[in-house]
Amino acid sequence: MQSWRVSWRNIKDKKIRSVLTILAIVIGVASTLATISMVQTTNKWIHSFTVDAYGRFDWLVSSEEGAFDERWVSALQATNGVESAVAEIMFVRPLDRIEGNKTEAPFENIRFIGVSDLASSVLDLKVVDGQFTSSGLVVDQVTSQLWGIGVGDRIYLKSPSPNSSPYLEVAAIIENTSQLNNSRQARDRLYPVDVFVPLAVTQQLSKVDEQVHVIMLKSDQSVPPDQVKRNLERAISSDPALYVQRSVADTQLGARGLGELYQALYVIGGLGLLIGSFIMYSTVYINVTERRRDFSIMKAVGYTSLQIKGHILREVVLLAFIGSIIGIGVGAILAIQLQAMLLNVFGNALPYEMALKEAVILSMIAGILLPLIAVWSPVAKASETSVSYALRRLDNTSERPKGKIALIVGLFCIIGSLFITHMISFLPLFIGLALIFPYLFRIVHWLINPLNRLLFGREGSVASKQMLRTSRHFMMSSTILSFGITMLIYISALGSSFYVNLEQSSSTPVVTVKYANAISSQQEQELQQIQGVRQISTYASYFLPWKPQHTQHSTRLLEVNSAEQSFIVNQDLTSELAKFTKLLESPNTIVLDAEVYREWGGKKGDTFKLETPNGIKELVVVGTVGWGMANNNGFVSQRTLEESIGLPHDNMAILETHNPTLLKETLLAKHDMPIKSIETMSEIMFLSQQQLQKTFGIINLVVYLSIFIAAIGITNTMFMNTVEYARELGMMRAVGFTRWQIVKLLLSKAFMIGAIAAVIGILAGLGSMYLTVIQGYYLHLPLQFIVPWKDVFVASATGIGISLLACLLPAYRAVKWDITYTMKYE
Amino acid sequence: MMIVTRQVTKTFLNGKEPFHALHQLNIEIKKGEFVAIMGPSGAGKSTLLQLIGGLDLPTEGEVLIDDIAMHQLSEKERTLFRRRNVGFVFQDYQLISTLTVEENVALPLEADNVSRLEIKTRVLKLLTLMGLENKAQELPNVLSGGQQQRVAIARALAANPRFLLADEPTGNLDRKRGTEILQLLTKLHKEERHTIIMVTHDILAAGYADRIIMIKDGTVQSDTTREEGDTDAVLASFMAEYKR
Ligand SMILES: Nc1ncnc2c1ncn2[C@@H]1O[C@H](COP(=O)(O)OP(=O)(O)OP(=O)(O)O)[C@@H](O)[C@H]1O
Ligand SMILES: [Mg+2]
Repeated sequence: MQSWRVSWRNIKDKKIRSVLTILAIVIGVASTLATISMVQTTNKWIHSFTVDAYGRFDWLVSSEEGAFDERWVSALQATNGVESAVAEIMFVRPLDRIEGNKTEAPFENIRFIGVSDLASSVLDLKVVDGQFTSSGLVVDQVTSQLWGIGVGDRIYLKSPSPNSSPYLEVAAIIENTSQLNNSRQARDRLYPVDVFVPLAVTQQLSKVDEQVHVIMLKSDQSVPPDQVKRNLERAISSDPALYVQRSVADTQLGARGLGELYQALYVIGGLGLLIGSFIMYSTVYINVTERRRDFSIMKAVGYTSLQIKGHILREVVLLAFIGSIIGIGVGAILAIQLQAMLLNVFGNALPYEMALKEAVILSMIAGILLPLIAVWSPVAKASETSVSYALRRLDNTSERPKGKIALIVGLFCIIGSLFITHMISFLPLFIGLALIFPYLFRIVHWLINPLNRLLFGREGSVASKQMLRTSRHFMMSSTILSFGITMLIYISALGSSFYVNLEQSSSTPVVTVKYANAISSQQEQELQQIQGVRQISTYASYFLPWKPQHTQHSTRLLEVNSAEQSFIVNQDLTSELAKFTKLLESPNTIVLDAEVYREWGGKKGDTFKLETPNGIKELVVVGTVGWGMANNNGFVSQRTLEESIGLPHDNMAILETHNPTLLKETLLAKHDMPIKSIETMSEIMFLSQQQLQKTFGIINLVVYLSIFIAAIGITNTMFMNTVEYARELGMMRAVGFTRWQIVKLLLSKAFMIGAIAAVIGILAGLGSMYLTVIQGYYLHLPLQFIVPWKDVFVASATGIGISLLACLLPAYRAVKWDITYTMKYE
Repeated sequence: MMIVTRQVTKTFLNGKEPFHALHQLNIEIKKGEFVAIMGPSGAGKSTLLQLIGGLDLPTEGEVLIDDIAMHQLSEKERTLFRRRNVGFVFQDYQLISTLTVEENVALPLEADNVSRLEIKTRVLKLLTLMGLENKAQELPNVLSGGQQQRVAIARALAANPRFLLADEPTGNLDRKRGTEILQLLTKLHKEERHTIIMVTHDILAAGYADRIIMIKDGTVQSDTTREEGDTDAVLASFMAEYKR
C-alpha cells in the first residue's frame, strides 16, 4: 500500500511527464476505439439498410419481357406458402414545377414507384401526415422538406403538350425509409427523387396500363423454401415469360468502394497506437534514464531487479488506468462525431446505431497492453542498472545505423511490396522504409543541411551535429510524420489520376438508358429515328444471385451483360472483351470482371454457379477483364443468355448523340417506353467525380488527422529532448547563448525533422503511386502517373510547419527555465 | 575595482519559508586577483559565483562589474556580457555529450558568430595549452575526469574572458590531477594575467590563491590576502572550524 502511495507521489511530482504519458495512452486508446467503432458502425449501417431495403421479401417474380399483367398479384397471393404479395412498377418522369413554389423548379426527375398495396405490413411505411389514397402521391420527409410541400400540394410533370401538364396531389407524408433512395444517397439533382404512388396512378402517367415489373413475395416461414419455390413455379407455368428468383439483399454491393476508406481508417488507428506507444516508450525511457542513479542506489541498499521493475510498472499501471478511462471517453466522442460526418457525406437520413461495445473492450485491452509493451525494454534496462552506474556521468550517446541486416531486410520488404496487388502492400513497404530509415535519414540530412545552415546559421550547424549523434530520438517522430506525408501524397496522386481518367471519358456524347421493358427490334428502330440520335446499341443487364466459393452463406448479385455489345462508352472494355469472343462462343461460358473474379475465389476453367430463371447454371469462367474501380459484372454471349440463362431480351440502350442533355429530355417526355434510369455520360462521370471527391475528402481528413497525431509525437520528442538536455541548454546559456539562439537551435532541429520527413514522405508517396501505375494496381485501369505538385508543396509545408509548431511549446519552456535551476536539473 | 557586491542578499523560498542563501554580503575583487572562496557546504558559495557571473540576479543589493549594475541590464545584455567577459568552469564539467571536444570548446565562439577560421585556430591553441590536441575529435564520454575538466577550462577560456569563475574545479579529481589543474590555473593567472575566482573545499587548492574569502551562512567571515596576512593561519583556523 505504501508503495502505491509512493508511485502516486512520483506521478504528481512530474506533472508534464505524467500528462504526456496519459496523453500517449489517450491517443492510443481513442484512435483504436474510434477506428474499430467507425468501421463496425458503417458496416452495420450498410448491412441494416440493405437488409431493410431489399430483404423484406423472399421471392421475386419477373418477366423476360419486363412488364406483365398485374392480375398475377392475386394469383400469386393465393399460392400455398405465400404470406403476402406486393407488385411494383418503376419509371422516371421529369418534374415541371411545384405548386406555390414561385421560383422556377429545378430540372429534376422523379422516379415513380407504383405499389399495389401501400399499406402492406411488409413495406411498413409510417405515415406522419395525411393518409394513403387511391390517387395521391406519397413522399418521404426528406423530399417534403426539399420541395417545401405538404399534404394537398400539387406537383406538375413535364409533358409533350405544354397546355396539359399532368399533376399529382400529395396524399401522405411518410417517415424516411430505406426503400426510397432519397434518404441514403447524397442529394444531387442528377439522381431522380423517389416517390411512391398507388399502382392505379401509373396508368395515368404511362403506357403500361395494368402492368407491373415485379411481384415481391414474402413466404410463410413454416413452409420450406424449396416447397414455396416449386409452388410458385407451378403457379406461373402458364406464362413462359415469367420466372421466379430469390430476393437477395447483397450487403457487400453497398460496401463497394468503402474498402479504401476502411483501410485508411485502420492506417490511422494503427498510427495512433504506434504513436501512443512511441510516446510512452520515450517518456518512460527518459524517465528511467534520468533515474538510473536512483535505481543504482536502490540496488546498492538491497533492492532486487524485480522490485525495481515493480516500482516503475506501478506508476505505469496507474497512468494507464487514468489514460484508458479518458481515452475511452475521447474515443467515443470522436467516433460519434466522425461517424456523423461520414454518413452525412453518403447522404444518410436514416437512424443508425453506433457499434461501441467491442471497440470499447478492444481499446481497453490496448490501453493496458500498449503501455506494458511500450515500456518493457526501458524498464528492463532500468532494472539491470549496475550498482556502479552512479559512478559514471555521461551516457554513451554516439550512434550509427545498426548493421547491414536491417538494410537488407528493409530493401527486401520494399521490393517485395511491389509484387502484392492489394492495399496491404503498404505494410511491407512501410516496414521496409522503417528499417532503412536510418540510412535515408542520414542521406536526406546531408542533402538538407546546407538549407538548414542558411536558415539557422551557427545554431543550425550545432543542432545538425547534435541530431546526427542522437538520431535515435528524432528518427521515430520523423518516420511517423513521413508515413503521414506518404499517405497524403499517395492518396492525392491516386485521386488526381482517377479524376483525369473520368474527365477523359466524360466527354463521350452518349445517353445510357435502362428500360423497364425488353427492347423490341421495332422499338430499337424507333429510337434510331429520334432526332439527334447518331448511333444506338442495346444490350442486356440483369442481376442474378451467386455465391463466392469460400463464404457459402453470403449470396451476392452479379450484373450479367451480353458480351457482343459494343460499349461506345468504354473502348478499353470493348477491345478487351473482343479478345474473348472466340472462347465465349462455346455455350455456358462467362467472362468475369476482375473484382468479381477475386471475390469468387476460383480460377479460369472452373465453373461459376449462377442462379438463373432456368435454375442454377454452371458456367465455365474463360477469362477476366478489368474495368474501373468498383464493378460487379459478368459477360456472356447472346446465345448463353437465351439458351441457358433464359433472358433473351436487351433492356439497356446506349445512344450516341450531339446533345446528350437534350436527348435525355426528349426520351423522358416520350413515355411509351417506361424508363427505369437514364443518365448522360457527363452526368455519370460527374456523379463519379463527386463520389470520388467525397470519399477522398474523408480519406484526406483521416490522413491530416494522422499528421496531426504525428505532430503530437514531435512535440513529445522535442519536449523530452529539452527536458533531457535541460542541463546542457542551461550550460549553453551560461557560456553566452541568448534565448533566441537557444530557440533557433531547437527550431533548427524541428525543421530538420520536418524536412527529412517531408522529403522521404514525398519520395515514398510518389514511389508508391508509380508502383501502383506500373502494376496496374486497380487492375487494367489505365492510371496515369501524375505528380500532384500542389500537394507536394502542401505536404512539405505541412511537414515542416507542423514540426516547427510542435517545437514552439517545448522551446518556450526551455527558455523560461532559470539557468541556475536547469544546471541543477537531474 | 572590477567586481563589487553591495549588501547582496539572495533569498530562496523553501516551500513557504524564505531562506537567505546570501545575506547582505559585501566583497570587492580587483583585476588580476586569484581569489579562493571557501566555506562549509550550503554557505552560499555557488550562489555567489552565479551572481557574479550574471547567471542570476540578487534579491536585494547589487552586483557591479566595472561599475555596471547587473540588474540594470536586460536579459539579452546580460547574456552578451557573459559571453564576452565571463568564463565558467563548473564543478561537474557540464560538457555537451553530443558534441566533440573541439565543438564543446568552440561553443562560446559559435554563439558569438566568430569566423570559422578564427574558431579553428583559437580552439587548437587552447587544446594544445591543455595538452588535449589529440583528443579534439572525441566525444566527452571517452575522456577521463581530469581531461573533461581541462576541456571545461578550455571552453571557459575560449572567448578570452576577463575573468574566470571556477566552482570546485578539483572537486571530482584525484590529488594528482587536481594539482595539474591548479598549476594550470596558476599559470594562467601568472602568465596571462587572468582574474580567477575559485570556489573550493580543498585547503590545498585554496593555497594556490592570493586571497581567501571565507563565507558562512551567506556572509563573509574572513578575507585574507597573502601580502597582509598569513594565509596559512587562515587555513589552519578553517581546518579547526571544519573539524568541529
Ligand atoms: N534554487 C534554489 N532554491 C532553493 N534553495 C536554494 C537554491 N539554490 C541554492 N539554494 C540553497 O541556498 C543555500 C546555498 O547554496 P549554495 O549552492 O550556494 O551552497 P554552497 O556553498 O555552494 O554549498 P556546497 O559547498 O555544498 O556546494 C543552500 O542551503 C541551498 O539549499
Ligand atoms: Mg556549491
